[in-house]
Amino acid sequence: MSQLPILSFLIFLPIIVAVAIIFLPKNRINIVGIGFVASLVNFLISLKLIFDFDKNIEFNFIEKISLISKYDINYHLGIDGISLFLILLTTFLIPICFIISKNSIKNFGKEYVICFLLIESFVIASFAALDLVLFYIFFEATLIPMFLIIGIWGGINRIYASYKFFIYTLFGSLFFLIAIIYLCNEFGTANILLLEQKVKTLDFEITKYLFLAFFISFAIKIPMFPFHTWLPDAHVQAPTSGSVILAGVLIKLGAYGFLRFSLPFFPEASLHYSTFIFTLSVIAIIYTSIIAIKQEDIKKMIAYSSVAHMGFVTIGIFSLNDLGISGAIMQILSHGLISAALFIAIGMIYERTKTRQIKDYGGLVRKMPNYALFFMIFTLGSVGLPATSGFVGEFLAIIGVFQVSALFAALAALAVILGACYMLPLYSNIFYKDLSPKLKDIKDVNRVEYIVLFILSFLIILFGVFPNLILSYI
Amino acid sequence: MSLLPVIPEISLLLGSFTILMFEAFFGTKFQNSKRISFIISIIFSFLALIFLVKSYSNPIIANGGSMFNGSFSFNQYLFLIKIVLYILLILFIFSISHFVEKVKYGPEFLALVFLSLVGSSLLISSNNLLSFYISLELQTFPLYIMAAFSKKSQKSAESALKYFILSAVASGILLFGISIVYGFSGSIDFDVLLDRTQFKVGISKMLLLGFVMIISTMFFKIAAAPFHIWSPDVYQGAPTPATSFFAAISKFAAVIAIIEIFRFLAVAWNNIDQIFILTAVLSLLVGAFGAIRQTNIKRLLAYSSVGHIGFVLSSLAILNPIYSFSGLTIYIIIYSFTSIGVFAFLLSIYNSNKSKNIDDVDDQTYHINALAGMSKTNPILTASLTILILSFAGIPPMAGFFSKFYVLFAVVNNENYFIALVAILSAVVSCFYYLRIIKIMYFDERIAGSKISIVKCNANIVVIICALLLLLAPLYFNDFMNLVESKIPNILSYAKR
Repeated sequence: MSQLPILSFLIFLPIIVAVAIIFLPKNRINIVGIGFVASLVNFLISLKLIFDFDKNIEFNFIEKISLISKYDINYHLGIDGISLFLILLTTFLIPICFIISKNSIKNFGKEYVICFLLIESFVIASFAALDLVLFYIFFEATLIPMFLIIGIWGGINRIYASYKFFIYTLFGSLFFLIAIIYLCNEFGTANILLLEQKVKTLDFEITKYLFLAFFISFAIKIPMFPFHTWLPDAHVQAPTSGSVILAGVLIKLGAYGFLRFSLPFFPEASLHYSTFIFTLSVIAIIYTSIIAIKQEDIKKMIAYSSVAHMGFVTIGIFSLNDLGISGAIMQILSHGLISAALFIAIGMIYERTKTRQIKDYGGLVRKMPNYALFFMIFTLGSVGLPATSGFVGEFLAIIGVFQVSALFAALAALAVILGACYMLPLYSNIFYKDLSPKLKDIKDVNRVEYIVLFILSFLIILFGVFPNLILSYI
Repeated sequence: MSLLPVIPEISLLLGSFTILMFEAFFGTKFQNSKRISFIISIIFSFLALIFLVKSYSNPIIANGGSMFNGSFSFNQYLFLIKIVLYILLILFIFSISHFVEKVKYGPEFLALVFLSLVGSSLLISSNNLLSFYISLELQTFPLYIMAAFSKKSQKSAESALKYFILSAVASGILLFGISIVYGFSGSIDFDVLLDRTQFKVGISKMLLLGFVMIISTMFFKIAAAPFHIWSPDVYQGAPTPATSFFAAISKFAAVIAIIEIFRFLAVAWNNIDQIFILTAVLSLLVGAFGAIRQTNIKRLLAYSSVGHIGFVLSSLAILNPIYSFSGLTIYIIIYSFTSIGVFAFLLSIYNSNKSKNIDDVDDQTYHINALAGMSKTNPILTASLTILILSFAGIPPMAGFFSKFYVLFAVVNNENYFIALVAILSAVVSCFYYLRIIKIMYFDERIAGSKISIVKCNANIVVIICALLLLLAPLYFNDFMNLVESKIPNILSYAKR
C-alpha cells in the first residue's frame, strides 16, 4: 500500500517530541504546553484514522518492517475496529491529562511531559501491533513511565504503590513472555495473523497451559479478582492525570489482550475456562462493589468500581458470543471515558480542597452548580443508566452472558444495583446535605475545566444514544 | 609464520611497557606526565583495535588456524570477541581517566590494566591447557595488585588478600585438573582432546574428574553461584576502577574462555548439563535474593552479576552447539557494556568528605542512599543510568531484554522449562532491587548536607555512550545476532580439523 505510514507517525511523534524536550532549557518555556500541543496534534492526526478506515478489510493501515528475520519478528502494525477506538481513546485522553495538570505539577516538569508522551507512544504501539513480540515489548515498556509517574508525582504512600504496580504487572507478563517464546519457537513466527491459524493445530492440553500463561498476565493488568489489589493502591497514590491514564488506557491493555490473543488463539481453552472466569468476574463485581460501599476515600471508591466494571468486560468477552463481546468492547470504551471523567472531576475538587475524604465534603451543589451537573452525568454513566454509554456496555454484556448461563447473568445484573448503592450516596454526600464550613470559599469550575467536562459528558451521552457509532466498526 | 594474528596483543604489551618506562624516566620531568601516559594508553589501545578491525577479513584470519605449536588459535569469531574486548578497554580507560590523573601511581594502574588485558586476550585465544593456565594467571595477577591499589584502605588490602588466596587455591585446583587430564588422556591440546572425546576414546572417570576441576575453577573466576562468596567482598573492598575492570572486562574474557573448555567437555560427557543446570539455577537465585538487602552499590552489583552469570550458564546448560555459544556471547557482550556504563557512573561520583579513614568515606560514597535526589542535579546522567539499570533488569525496549529473550528462547527451544521458570522468577525478584536504585534517584529527596556530587569527567561521556548503545542496540539486534551466529560454526568447524 502506498499510504502514508500514519500509525508509525502516531507512535514516533511523541517519542521525537520527548527527546527534543530533553534538550530544551529548563525554566524558560512552558513545557507542559509543548506536550499539550504535541499530543493535540497527535489526536488530530488520529482522527484521520476514522475517515480513512475501510470497514470491509480486516486490518487497515498495515505496515511491516523486518526486525529479527530468523524468528520472523516484524515491526508489523495494523488496526481493526477495536484497536481504532482504543487508539482514539488514548490520543484523546493524553491532551486532557496535560490540560488538567497544568498547575498541579510543580517539580520535574520536563520528566512529567516526557513520561506521558512515552506512555502515549507505547500504548498506541501496543494497540496497533500485529506481532506478538512487538506487542510484548510495548506492553512491558509502559510500566517504566507509569512507575515514575506514580512514584514521583504521587501521594504520601507513592513508593509502595509504584512498586506494587510494577512487580505485580511484571510477574504476570513474564509468564506471558514464556508463552510467547513457546509459540514463536513452535511455529517460527510471531505474526499474530499467522499464529491465529497455526495455534489451532496444537494439542488441547498444551493450549490450556498457554491460555493460563496469557490469562495471568492479562488478568493482572485488567485487573481481575484476586489479582486486583494493586489497582486501588496505584489509583489512590497516583496523581490525577496518572489515574486517568491508568484507568482510561493502561488497564484496557489487559482486556485488549484477551480480545486480540486469548480468544482467537485458544478458542477451546477459552471455552474450557469460561465458567472459571465467569466465577472470578462475578466475584469481582459483587465483592469489589461491596468493598466500594465502605470506602471513605473518593478515589479509592472509584478504583474499586473500576474493578467491578472491568468484571463486566471479562464476562462479556468470555460469553464467547457476538453480543457479549461487542458489549465488552463497548464497556471498555465507555469505562475509559467515564472513569477518566470521574478521576478528572475528583482531581478538580482535590486541587481546591486538598482532601479526598468523603466526610470533608457536603453541600457542594450550592457553590459549584455546573460541576455538580457534570458529576451527575458521570455518576449516572458509572451506574449504567440508559442513555449513557455505561448502559450499553453492561446491557449487551449481560445479554451475552444470559445466552450462556442465566445464573451468572442474574448475578452480574445484581451488581448494577450495587453500583447504584455506592455511587448515589457518594453523590449525595458530596453535593447535598449541609455545606461544610471549610468549603465556603470554593469556586466553581473555570472555563478550561468546563470545556473538558463538557466534552467528556457529551461523548458519554453521545455513545449512550448512538452506540452504533462504535458498534458498526466492530 | 606470520605474526599478524598476535599483533594486537603485542601492541598492548608494548603499550604497557611504554607507559612503565615513560613513567620511570620522565615521570618527574613533565608536569602533566600522567595525562601523557593516559594519551599513550589510548593510542596503543586504538592501534590494537585498528589492527584487529583491519585484519578481520584477512584470509589468514578468515580461514582460521593456530600458531606457536598449536597453543594460540585464531579465527573470525575470536577476532570479533577481541574487537568487543578492546572497545570495552577503550571505554574503560576513558572512564578511569580522572582517577589516573588524581591517584599517585595512576599510570602504573594503566600499565597493569594493559598487562591483564593481554592475559585476557591470550586466554580467549588459548588452544591448549597450558597456555590456558598461563594466560589465566597473567590475567589475574595484575588484578591482585589492582585490588590492593588503595594503599591506605584496610578493606582494599583485605579484598586483595582474600582474592589472592582464594584465587591461588582455585589455580592450584586448575593445575591439578590439568595434570589429571594430561595423565589420563596423554594430551593437553584442545583439538586432540576434542578428537579423543568425540570418538569416546579413553574417557575414564578420572578424566571427567579432571574436567570437573577445570570447570569449577572457571566457575570460581566468573563467580558462579556456589563459588561466588568472594565476589561481594572483593567488589566492595577494591577501588572502584579495579571493580569495574573485574566486572566488565576480566569476567567477559573468562566467560568466553569457558567456551573453549566446554567444547570438548560437552562432547566427552553427556550428563555435563546437570552441573551447568545446578550452577545456573543457583546463580540465578543467589543473584536475585542476595542483592535485596544490600546497601552498598558495589556489593549489590556483585550479586546482580552473579545473577547474570546464571543467565549465561543457563544458555550453556542446554548443550546446543549453536544456541549455547551464541546465547552466551550475546548475553555477555550486552552485560559487559551495561557494566562498564554503570561503573563509569560510580566512578564519576565524588565525595568531598576529606576524612582520614578512607574506608568510611568509601562506604559513604557508594552507599545506595548517596544517590538520593541525583535526578535533580544531574538529569541526563541519571536518565542514562536508569536506562542501564533497566537494561540489567531486562525491561524492553532496552538491549538487556533482547539478550534475555534470546537466552530464554534457546532454553525453551530445548524444552528446559524448569530453567526458564527460575530465570523468569528471579528476573521479577531482581527487578525489586534494580527499581530501588531508580526509586532512590528519582523519588527520594537529597539528603541535607550530603557531600556527594558528580564530577565532570570523561566517565560521564562513557555513561551516556553506553546508555545510547543499549537504547539503540535493539534496532541492530538482528544483524548483531546473525553476525554472532554465523561466526559460531567457525569455532566448531575449526575444532574438527
